[in-house]
Amino acid sequence: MPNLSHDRETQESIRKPLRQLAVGLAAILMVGLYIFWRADSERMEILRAEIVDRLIPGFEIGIKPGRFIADMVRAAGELSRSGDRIEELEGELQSLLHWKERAQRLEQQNAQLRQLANLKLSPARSLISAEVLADTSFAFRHSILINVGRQDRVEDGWAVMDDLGLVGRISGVSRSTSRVILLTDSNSRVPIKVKPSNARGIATGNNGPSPHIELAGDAESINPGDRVLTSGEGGVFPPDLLVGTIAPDSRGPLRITPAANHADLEFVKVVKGDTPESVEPIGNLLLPEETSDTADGSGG
Amino acid sequence: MTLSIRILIYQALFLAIAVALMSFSMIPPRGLQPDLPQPDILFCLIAAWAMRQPDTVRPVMILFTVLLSEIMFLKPPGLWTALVLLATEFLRSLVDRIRYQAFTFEWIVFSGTFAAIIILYQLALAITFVPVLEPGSAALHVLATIIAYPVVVMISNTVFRVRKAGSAEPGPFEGRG
Repeated sequence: MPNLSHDRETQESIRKPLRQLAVGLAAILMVGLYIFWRADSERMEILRAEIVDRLIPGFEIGIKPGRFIADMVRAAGELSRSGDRIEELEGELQSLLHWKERAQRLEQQNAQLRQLANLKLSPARSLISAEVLADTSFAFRHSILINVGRQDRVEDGWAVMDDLGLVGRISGVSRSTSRVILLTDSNSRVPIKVKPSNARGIATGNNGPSPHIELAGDAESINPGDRVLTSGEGGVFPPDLLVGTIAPDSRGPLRITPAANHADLEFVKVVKGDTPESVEPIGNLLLPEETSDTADGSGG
Repeated sequence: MTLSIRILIYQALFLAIAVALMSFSMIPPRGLQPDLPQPDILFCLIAAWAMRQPDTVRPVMILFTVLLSEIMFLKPPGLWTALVLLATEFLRSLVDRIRYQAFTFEWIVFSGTFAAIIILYQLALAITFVPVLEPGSAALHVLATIIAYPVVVMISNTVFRVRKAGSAEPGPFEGRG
């Protein structure tokens, strides 16, 4: 027995320094990886997006049952409150019917006025619906993964909304998934305007639930509850998407209560942005006219 | 079953738990819980197992799981992995000292180590101009992890029977020493 334990000890005394050397080398390698990422962040992020795209089906095995259980717990909670909720909803329905009539009347009026003013509206933006695959938020970064990607022609920088308001912006597209940096992420900057005062500014995420606003002008005309919309400045986000409302407690810096339900994102819509247009040769622009000319010629 | 097969099974179990932890924290409608600081459960698991049965958590497994979590959660890749590798090597070296000490000692060592690597992490991020966590939320993150540690140890002890070598209760690693 003593012999055996002696053997073990000598084995250990050889193995230990070797292992420590290997761990040291691995740590240096990892620091190297970090420095490489710091130096060429863009290429590394593309690589990361591709890796995540490959791995996410594996994680789905864990996410799917977890989601199922979470949904069950939520459903059970809702069921226990359903009696009160039904009464509440019936009350809301009554007042909504009233509003519906009013909205229809206003819509008609609006259409008439538009016709009078000869106003042209920009074409409606097309949307791509997507399912939220994973919530990859943690203390430092707020982001989600959605199930549309390059194959659905999603591009970096496009806005993402839920039914109610702006959720964030596409940052990282791979074949079948994309990453969305949320409005609340500390790297998020959204040019905004506040209605009705029309003050303009930037909404800055702070990794908390309510992003800050820095206004270009003074904040005196702004009241809690005012609507905050994207201004479209800088061309990153399309204008007039609802971001949220000014938070009620406005001591300190102004904050936004986001309209999108960040706590319960399941389905989102990707708003197709303007793809940066390359300058085309003038001949191309004239081409349609020429073809119509020749068509006329052949017709006559 | 021989000891080496048992160790292999536990290594597979460790990887499965680590991947399950990652997928559970990715369940979409969880929402952002800004008021509840999230503990680093993966680090708790690595530390608890490394200080009990070091053979069940090989450095290459730590490298794999922590790097994977960094890639999936959009963290700067590599830096946290390097720190966890070094921290675990330090904790691993204490295995013989911890064996005969009360849990409080282990808990203090764990807390000090985690706080130290978080500070190093923040410093390393700061000197390379990468945004860091606010000091307040970093402190809360450390606190949450320290509070989570005994729970992880308890579950490791009772459910997975990963116990200190030479502990009075029988565990699956009794062939040791």
